[in-house]
Amino acid sequence: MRKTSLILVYGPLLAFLALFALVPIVGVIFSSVWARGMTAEFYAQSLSGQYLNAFLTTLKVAFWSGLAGLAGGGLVALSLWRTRWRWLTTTISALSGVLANFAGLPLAVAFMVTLGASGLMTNALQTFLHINLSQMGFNLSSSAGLILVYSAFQVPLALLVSLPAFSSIPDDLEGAALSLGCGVPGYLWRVLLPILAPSLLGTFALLFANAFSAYVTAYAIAGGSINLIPIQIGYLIDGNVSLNVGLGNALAVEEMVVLGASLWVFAMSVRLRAKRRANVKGGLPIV
Amino acid sequence: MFEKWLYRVIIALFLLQVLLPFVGLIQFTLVGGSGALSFASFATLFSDPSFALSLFNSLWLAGAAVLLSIVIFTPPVWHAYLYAPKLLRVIEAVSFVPFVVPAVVLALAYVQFFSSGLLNLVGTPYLLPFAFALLGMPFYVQVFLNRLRHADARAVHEAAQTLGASDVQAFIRIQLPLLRSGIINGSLLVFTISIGEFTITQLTTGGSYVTLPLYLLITFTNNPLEGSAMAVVTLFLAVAGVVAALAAASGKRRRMDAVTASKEAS
Repeated sequence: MRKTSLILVYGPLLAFLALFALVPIVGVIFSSVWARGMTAEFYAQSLSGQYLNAFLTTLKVAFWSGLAGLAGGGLVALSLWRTRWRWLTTTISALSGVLANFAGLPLAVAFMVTLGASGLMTNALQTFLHINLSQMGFNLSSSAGLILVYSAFQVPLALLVSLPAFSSIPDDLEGAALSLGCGVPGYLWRVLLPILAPSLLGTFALLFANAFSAYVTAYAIAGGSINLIPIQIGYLIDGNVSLNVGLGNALAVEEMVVLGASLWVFAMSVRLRAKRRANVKGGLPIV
Repeated sequence: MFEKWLYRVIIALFLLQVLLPFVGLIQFTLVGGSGALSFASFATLFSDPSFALSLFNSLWLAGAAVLLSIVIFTPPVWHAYLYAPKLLRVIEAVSFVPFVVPAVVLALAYVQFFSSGLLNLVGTPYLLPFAFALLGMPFYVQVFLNRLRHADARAVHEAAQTLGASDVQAFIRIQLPLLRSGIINGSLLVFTISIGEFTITQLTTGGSYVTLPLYLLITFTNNPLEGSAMAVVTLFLAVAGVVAALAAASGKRRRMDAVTASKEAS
């Protein structure tokens, strides 16, 4: 192929990536350490006071919603795999594919009208069970509330990611374990769990990254009343606080580091699974 | 026996957990106003001129993002798939940028980079189609690659060349029709992402350019009933987009696409 046509094929992509990804992002990284000379000032600022709190709250929400998602999604995947209902598995996978995409505004609105101050569930609990959610200290815009809201997309996502790992377990493994005198709980706990551990860890890392970067849902539900890193970055852009570009950039770099690390763990777990599949033929379980 | 029932209870609880918010949403939209079944909130919504405007804004932005994706991503992915497998791996890796750089960080980067000189685009909607195309890139590239592999594009291309077609001729007259379904599915995902994008739209235009998601939040704040009707409409649009994309994708890829697509929305 001639040089000019190669430029025509790859040129637009290169220009697009340079202009809308590479240069702006490098700019953010650069100006997080540079203000008339090298400085660590912005990082010091971003790791103290309310910004440190934001970091810790974001970690907390991401960790617990990831764990809740993993536990819920893992249990549902296990149940679907053990009951062997093909049509139910297909239906629930498709449903989860749709549900995992419903983070963001519609989900936030759905939760606010369901579990908000006078939502359907709030009222039903009050009327039929005499449970007053707000008196019990439940608040949708607290971190516990957000963890609950996030689990509406974390559980389906965990289900989608972990189901293939379950279905690649060979059927005769259970028989082998049982004939060696290990009951069903022992089989699940001492045989299945260690085999699935890398996949589950990878799933958790993906969910963690997902919650750590979630902005829209938290913004719509809690707005100013919850202190998360993405919310703080949004505030700095909006100019709600006196504009401090360097601080925003430092927060952004920290966000990218956390996401990069968790997605690296996820990628490693996917790679490990592929490697096992390539190395092990027959005999051993392929997960 | 006990075990089977335990699994059934777990599945039932899962369905309850994920469907309840949407039952609540639909219930509120239909009977929340007067206590009796009413479609008035939808009537209010559809007769609101700012709804029509935000719909128009969202549609042209999403259309532009789809066009950009097709023009910018299709030729290089196709060419690298056929002639440069190593380069293809680089393109694939780079396409995952939006997973490591979330929308709020992109917005922060754009606000600084596009605020002066020739590219003074902050505050205008013209930045948005490019940003949406970047957010949609991992999905477009994956879906299109999937089609390339599935359709055995390489063998078809070699056959066309043996019969004397040039690269360009073969690309336009044989490869594009062959790969059409991949292009359409990728476009559907880019379209769905663009229609629902809130973060970059709000933060780079300062909320001055009202698209469907911005309108949804404004309306919900002012009039929860009309806002939740809007949320129902958005849900239907999104379901239609996702279902269309999933239905068209081959069975094996379904889960993967849904998994990758889900990263976008949050």
